[in-house]
Amino acid sequence: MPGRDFEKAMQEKAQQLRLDPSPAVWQGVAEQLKQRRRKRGVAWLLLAAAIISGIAVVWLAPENMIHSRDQQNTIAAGKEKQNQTSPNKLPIEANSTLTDKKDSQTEQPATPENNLNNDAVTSAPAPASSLPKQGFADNKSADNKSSVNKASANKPAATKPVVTRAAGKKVTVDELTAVTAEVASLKAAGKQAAGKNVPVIASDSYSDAAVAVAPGAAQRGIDPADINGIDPFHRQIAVLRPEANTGDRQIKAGIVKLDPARKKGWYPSLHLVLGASSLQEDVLKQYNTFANEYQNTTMIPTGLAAPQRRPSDVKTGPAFAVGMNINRYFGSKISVGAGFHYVYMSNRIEIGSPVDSAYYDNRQQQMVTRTAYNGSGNNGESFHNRYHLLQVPVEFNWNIDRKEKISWNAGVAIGYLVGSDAMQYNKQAGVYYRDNDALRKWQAGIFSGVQYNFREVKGIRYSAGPFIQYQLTSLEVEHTNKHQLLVGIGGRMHLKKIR
Amino acid sequence: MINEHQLVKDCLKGKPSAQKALYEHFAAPMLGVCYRYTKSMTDAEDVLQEGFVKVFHYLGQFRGDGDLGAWIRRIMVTTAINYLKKNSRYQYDLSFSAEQQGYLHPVSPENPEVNLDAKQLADLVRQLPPGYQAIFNLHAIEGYTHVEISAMLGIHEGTSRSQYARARNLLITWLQKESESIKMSHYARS
Repeated sequence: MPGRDFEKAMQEKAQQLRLDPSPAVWQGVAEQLKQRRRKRGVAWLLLAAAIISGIAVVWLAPENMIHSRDQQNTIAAGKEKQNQTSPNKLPIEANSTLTDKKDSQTEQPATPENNLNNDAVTSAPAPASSLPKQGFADNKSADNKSSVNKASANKPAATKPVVTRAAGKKVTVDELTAVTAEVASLKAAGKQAAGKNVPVIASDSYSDAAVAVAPGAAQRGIDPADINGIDPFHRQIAVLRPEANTGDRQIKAGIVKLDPARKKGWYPSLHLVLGASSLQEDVLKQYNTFANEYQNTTMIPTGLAAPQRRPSDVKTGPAFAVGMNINRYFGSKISVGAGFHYVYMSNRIEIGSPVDSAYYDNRQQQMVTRTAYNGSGNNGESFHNRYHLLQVPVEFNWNIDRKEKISWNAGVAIGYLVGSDAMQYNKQAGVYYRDNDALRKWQAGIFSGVQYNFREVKGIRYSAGPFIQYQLTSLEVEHTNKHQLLVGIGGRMHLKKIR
Repeated sequence: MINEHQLVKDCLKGKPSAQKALYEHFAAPMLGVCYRYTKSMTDAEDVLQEGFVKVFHYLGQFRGDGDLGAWIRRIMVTTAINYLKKNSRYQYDLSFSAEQQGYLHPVSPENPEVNLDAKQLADLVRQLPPGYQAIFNLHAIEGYTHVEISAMLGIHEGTSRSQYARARNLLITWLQKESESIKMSHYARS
């Protein structure tokens, strides 16, 4: 080659060049290194703050937004006991015992079974208008309607639903006292109306617990919750055994524990998603490299032929996500949560042979061959572009069915691309090269999935179902239509509640 | 002689003393690299600073099986190219027109003697237009192929070849003139 000696001489001379930089250069480098460290610290702080604030929002949500599942639990327990209830016995539940001593001497008998019978607690012959309105309301919920109807079906026609407590409201002693008088009159009216064995009931569809109070408790100024040491929101039915003989019958009492509260407190869960990821132009359209990145390299004017190069098709690659979530319920069916996940996504391309290149090694005084670039083509070697993300998902979860077997979740995820070995395509040169600066570090995505609870062992539930995540942020800075899509099967292990 | 392996380890731990030692060891040769790609010492020092920040940032990716100096040198070259692309003063000369793409100078068969020292030669290369300068440095001195240069600069491979040929011819002409003037001064002295 005619010119090689010239190049060699130039190389040798150039390698010898050494120039001393001014001290300001190092000061600048040191300052920037400090700034980077600070930025990294700030990024971690922001992440931590986001998580903490998310948790705080859920934590500080108004208590009355939390509807426990105990209502259902109580009803369920009542249903179980309903069959045991003797038709000859008068079911008295909860507020029906809120009578003064005088009344309690003559009131109808009650059994713990009856006390638990929520299906039969909403019927009374008295007119609804005579009932206190503050803090109480006609129950219009479907559950209570059904319980009312069931009860009414077995009772005289005169009975009808009268009182239910407003969900989530704490009953005060004054209210209880007021109800006492009403219940007494209801009982009397019931007797008159039905002649005998008419259930005289003050309804209780209290959201968290059915609280039965001993006769006279209200007058003694004792809060029903205090009597039994049980918070009205707690999942226990508490009936105080009365000391006094209530005539020929006694009210049996006891504490019946129901299913532990699953809807109050924090519910951690472990997540695992296994699937495949691909590059998309949008949710439905796969990324077309030929349309987006191909540039026709025609014969250049000088007559030098350039080989036709085209980018590889992008195929799906394996993907998975693993992490932990923590959820808090709002109502019996809806929960909101946040988590921290590691997500691995990949796609597969085919690259051509490495393009050899060389550089002069100053120390060894020789040319060193290296391969920083790969040719393009669809008949080359398979290569997996791998992406490692850390992300914080914030999700909304909805239990679709009553039995809570199926749930749907959706949310957004903010992630940071912590690493990648992906190759980018240079359409002018027709080669693949690696440049992580070309990738967008902060990623935002949306996800959704359906979960089916298939097993529960020792309070730990296992669920699985389809999962999909679509990255709203384009993967590359330059190309705005490269979005990642992860489709797979998601599994969750719902651990026991924290609090 | 410094222990590069240990130095890298200490730098990865974030020790400022190790970072400074690494910088001091490589700053002078790397400034030489940056100097060849830019038009002023200030620009060269800017590139050096930016390059060293990248070196410390990506040091974790250095596998240790190669030469650390060569690895840093590649970062400096890439940083210099990016600097030229970003800097408005160089952008005009880096945009290659269609006419330029088709133009190919005949390659001179001569191999003039390079009697200048490293600094003088670098100054000569810096007199080339920025586009030529970058391509000449990348191909003749760093050893990059025209395919790689086309990828780095975002130009056609043919453009890279033609620009290099132009740069080479210019340099040879200048070198011949320089050597003649040196000879003349030599004769004058004798």
